[in-house]
Amino acid sequence: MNGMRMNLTSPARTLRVRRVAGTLLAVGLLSIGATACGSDGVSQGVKTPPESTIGQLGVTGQWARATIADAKNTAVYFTVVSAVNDRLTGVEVDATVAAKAEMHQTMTMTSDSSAAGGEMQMGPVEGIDIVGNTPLVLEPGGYHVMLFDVAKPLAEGDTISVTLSFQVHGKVTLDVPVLAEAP
Amino acid sequence: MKLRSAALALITMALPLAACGSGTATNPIAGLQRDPAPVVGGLSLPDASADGADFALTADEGKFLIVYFGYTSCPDVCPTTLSEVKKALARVGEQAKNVEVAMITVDPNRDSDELLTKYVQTFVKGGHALRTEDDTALQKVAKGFGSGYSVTTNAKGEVEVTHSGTLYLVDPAGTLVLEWPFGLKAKAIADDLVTLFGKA
Repeated sequence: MNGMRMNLTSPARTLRVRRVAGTLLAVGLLSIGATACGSDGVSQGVKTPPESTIGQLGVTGQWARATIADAKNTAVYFTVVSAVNDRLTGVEVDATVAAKAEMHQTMTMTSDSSAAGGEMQMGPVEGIDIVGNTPLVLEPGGYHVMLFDVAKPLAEGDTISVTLSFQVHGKVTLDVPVLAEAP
Repeated sequence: MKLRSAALALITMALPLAACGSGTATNPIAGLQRDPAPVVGGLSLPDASADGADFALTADEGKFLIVYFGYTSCPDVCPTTLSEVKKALARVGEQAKNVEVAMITVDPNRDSDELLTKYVQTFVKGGHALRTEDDTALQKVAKGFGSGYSVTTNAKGEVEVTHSGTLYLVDPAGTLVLEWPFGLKAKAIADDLVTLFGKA
């Protein structure tokens, strides 16, 4: 499904991740276990885990919003579940996709959205901490990957490649389907 | 009991329009209502989708007008919100023809007339694209709605925009009857519209 690799080695792990990630697993599961980093880990930019029991990291439900009219910016969303504490430290896309990718967070500036108009702002974040076995959800109105200045319009049905860097798990490259609306 | 009565009275006062929905009498309105409700109908902006003709921020008789302050470089909040509007209008069905949508750009330097028009009409057929380079005029309109925005350039030369994530609903009297805060789903918006049409 969408070029995602399945590498679940242990039924017990499958169950644990399934319980945490819930229905998102139905969308698809990309999983990298310690073995997936393997001996080639260094050349892939993957840190060699200090322990063999480092656990797994799954990214599910990834999608990129189709660009609208001739607008040049868009966003990518996904959910990460890691068996251990980790940190999303970077995002990259090829220049054939967009000029730049950044982790961003949308925030409402005032708590009283009724009177003050719920002014919202968006800004880059250096990294996002991931608590073991707790889904990190990037979704509209919260954390997202912002794509600046797309090389060409992204249309529903397209697939783009996005590389995520994790402090513990190293780099993970995702095939991300382009959708017109949130799934 | 006294407390409960007081609370009920407050709810009743706050949601006068919720009382008479067609078969949804017990459904509260999801949107927020200000007291007193601001009157915005006297405000207007050029409509880029109509060759810059003056567009009064009021609804035609028997209709409602949804107003949104946004910008087209917005990757997250604006498309999310306008997608919900699109889905809400699909849910409303026949009455959707009596709902007009106007997007006001808070970033007119980057949003051309053409881009803004195409952007809003990607979501809503016939959507209005309100754009002015006169910041005083834009501020006046934003203030009327109780909406805020800012456009600044940071040290890295990147344009940073803040804007209210709220959708505003205006009636034919030019009254801002409802505000839908960011994050409200299409169903809630559609239910409110159906309730209001039932009342109208």
